[in-house]
Amino acid sequence: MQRKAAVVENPSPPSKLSLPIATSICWDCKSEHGGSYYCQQCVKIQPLSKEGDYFEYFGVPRLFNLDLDQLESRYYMLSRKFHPDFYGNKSAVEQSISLGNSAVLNTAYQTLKNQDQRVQYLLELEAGAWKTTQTTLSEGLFDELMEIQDTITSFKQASDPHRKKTSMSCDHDQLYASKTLLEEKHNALSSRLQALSLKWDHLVLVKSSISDQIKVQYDMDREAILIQIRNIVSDQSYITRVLTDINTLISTT
Amino acid sequence: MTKIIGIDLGTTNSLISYMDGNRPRVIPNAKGQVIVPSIVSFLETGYVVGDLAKEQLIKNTARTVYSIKRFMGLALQDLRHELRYFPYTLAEQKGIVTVQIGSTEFTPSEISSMILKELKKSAEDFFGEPITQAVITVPAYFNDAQRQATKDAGRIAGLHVTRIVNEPTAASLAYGLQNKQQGLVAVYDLGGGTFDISILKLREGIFEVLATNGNTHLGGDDFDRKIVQVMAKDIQDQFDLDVTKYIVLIQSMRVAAEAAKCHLTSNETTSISLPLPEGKGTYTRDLHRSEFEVLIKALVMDTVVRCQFALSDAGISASEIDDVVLVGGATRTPLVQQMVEKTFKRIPHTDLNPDEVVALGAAVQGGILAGEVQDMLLLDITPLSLGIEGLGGTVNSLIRRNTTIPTQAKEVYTTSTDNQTAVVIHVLQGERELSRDNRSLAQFHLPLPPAPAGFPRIEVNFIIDANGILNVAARDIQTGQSKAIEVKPSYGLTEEAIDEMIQDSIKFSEADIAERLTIEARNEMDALETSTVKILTEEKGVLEEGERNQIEQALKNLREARDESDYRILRKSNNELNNATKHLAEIAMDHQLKAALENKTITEIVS
Repeated sequence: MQRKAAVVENPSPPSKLSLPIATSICWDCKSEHGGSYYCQQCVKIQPLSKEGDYFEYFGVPRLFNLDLDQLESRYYMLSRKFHPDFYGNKSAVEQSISLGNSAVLNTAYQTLKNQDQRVQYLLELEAGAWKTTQTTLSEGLFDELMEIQDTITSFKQASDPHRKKTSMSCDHDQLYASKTLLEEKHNALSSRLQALSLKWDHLVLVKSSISDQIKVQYDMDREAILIQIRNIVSDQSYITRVLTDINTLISTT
Repeated sequence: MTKIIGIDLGTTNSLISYMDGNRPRVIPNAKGQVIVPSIVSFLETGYVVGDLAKEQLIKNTARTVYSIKRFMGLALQDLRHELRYFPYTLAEQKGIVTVQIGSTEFTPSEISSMILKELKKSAEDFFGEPITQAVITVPAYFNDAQRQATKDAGRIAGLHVTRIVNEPTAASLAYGLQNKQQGLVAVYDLGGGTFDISILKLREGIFEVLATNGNTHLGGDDFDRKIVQVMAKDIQDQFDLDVTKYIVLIQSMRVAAEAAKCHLTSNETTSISLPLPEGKGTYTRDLHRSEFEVLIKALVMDTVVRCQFALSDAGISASEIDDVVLVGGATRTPLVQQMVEKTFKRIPHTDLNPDEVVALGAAVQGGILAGEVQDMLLLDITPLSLGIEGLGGTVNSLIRRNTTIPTQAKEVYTTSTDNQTAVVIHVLQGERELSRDNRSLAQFHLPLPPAPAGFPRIEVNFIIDANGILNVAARDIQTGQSKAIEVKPSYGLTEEAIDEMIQDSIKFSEADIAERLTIEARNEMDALETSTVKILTEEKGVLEEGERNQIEQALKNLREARDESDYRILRKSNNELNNATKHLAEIAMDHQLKAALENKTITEIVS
């Protein structure tokens, strides 16, 4: 039997969207607008910067745990600025900027609102030199998952109607036991992730009060947390995949 | 500021509305009715719409088109399970289903445009000025092709469709304006032919749609059909008559079924009576509400399951919903109300008129777009996932369902062989894994510069606009140049076809107007003739000989001109006679004045 390589690709973040590159010069009247949403001279809407990150759009720090209520309020406020509904009587260029800005804003909000997507996006944003290195499954989990994979395979064979039925019930119990085990593991990882994310958030919030002496240590701590979080996310995504397999099997047999 | 009116283009009925200051109102037609049946009937002299067409359902069955909305944006093969239920002939032209009337084929967009024109005319009569811009509603679960077909219908009718809005969200605007409630709202919209469920969050004037689900082929029509099936079986068993051979009978059965269904809303039992062809006598049957409910149970359950899907996509539980709003005529069905109550564990909100609320919401959205309504904003979503066909016929998903619109996604394309000059991109919409199970939206060739394999980099942007309609743009990453891509819709009308239809429609409407004016001039002529003859016989020597001769000559000319078809000729003779009788009319006025003084009424003298 060919075994699946136990290497998980680096979770890919949502792709950045392309907008006309925002400059500090108004596209229409060519005056300086200082990076605001509207030109101070001619009041025309300006395209959002391609370089800006989603946290920046909403004016919130790069935290794993966000105040969702505040995020929603800002999203609504920005929607009132950009939505195509308010540009019906404007020029074609303004309409297309409004469409583009709204589309970016909506994607940004969806990404930050959703816990899993937010974690992945933040990991990608903050990734340092380790960005391109591949994630490997944590020790112990690899062997456990292989065992469970064997259970799944034998269950599939046993439930195949063309085969002679042998010790079916035993496999069934094993399957449920594997499911419970994986769910527990997933939950344990979630708790660890939560603890680490709070630690990260704390570091981000105290950043301004960090003295130069401990700056090096601070950066090392930050990176260590991120790498741990990335490994947890990777482990979890593998577990989720196996769990989905098990759930499909249970619901179809 | 240009007026932007709202239109609910429904399966069964259509309405038009406007913003009267801060209040949306429906616009009545010349007869004072606000509901126009979505029916078009083709007569010898032209077509009629609405109530006049409804009268033709049984008289002129094969040439009377109802429920056209079910066919919008579809191909014949999408309808194979329904075809036998429709008494008019359906055909197909270039992948679009058409209705065949005599030797002419009409697309669903064209038939719909006739309904839109009727509504537009009511609004123009109401305001006394031309109407050019409209917001038209569609079921939330309509796909891209169905939305596009609706937009096309507007264009053919001479309307610039400023926005396509989802029906349940439109309803929520009208609801929100009236109730000012904040929180989570579920809109359950069961119309004549379509079902939608939308879950919304209302906060600070923002109407944010969280999730939507639906079935574009489930509505009151299907309830009727269940009753028709029972009747057909009865008639087969009792009278040995195969009803499918008689289209007029099927139509009568459908009309009777609809009436029975409506009667069962407030009554426990109803009776159906129907004369049969071939001297077979009359079919009669009693139908109890409980029997009817057994018939429609599975259909109602389908809506309940979709409510649960929508809740789960929105990530909330039924008990978190603050209010449930019922929309669409079919929500009057007691079983539907019970099931909704059970699903959301609360009594649904029924203050709003389920027939009007969507049209009213469309007017509100029109007001937002025109800048008349300042504080409200609708953030809607795309109901279906959008993807690209990948290797082996799989779907590579780009935009997930229930994503807030506008939204965009991009993909970078390159070549796999040297000097390859194009790649084929197949855009799909739907939730299925394999491309063949999803709706094909468009297919296009992306031209690439000849270069070694893997070298060109063309970024293709897929943008879903605020109408929920897909737009495609491409850019060569190396040169930064934008590329024009011609996206050929897999289903739907080409630009040329629409232009042709607009031309036809203008030609027809010119002919229509001329015909209307002719009829009006002839009516005036007849009235003029009657009154002149009457006065001539009653004037008792007031007129001088010469004047009398003049009038008689003008009257003779008028009678001769009566069969002219050009309204200008008719008007000319009307004017001639009017001028000739001017003096006489003054005398008659004097008489009337005297009579009035003698306590006689004017009508007593003239009539």
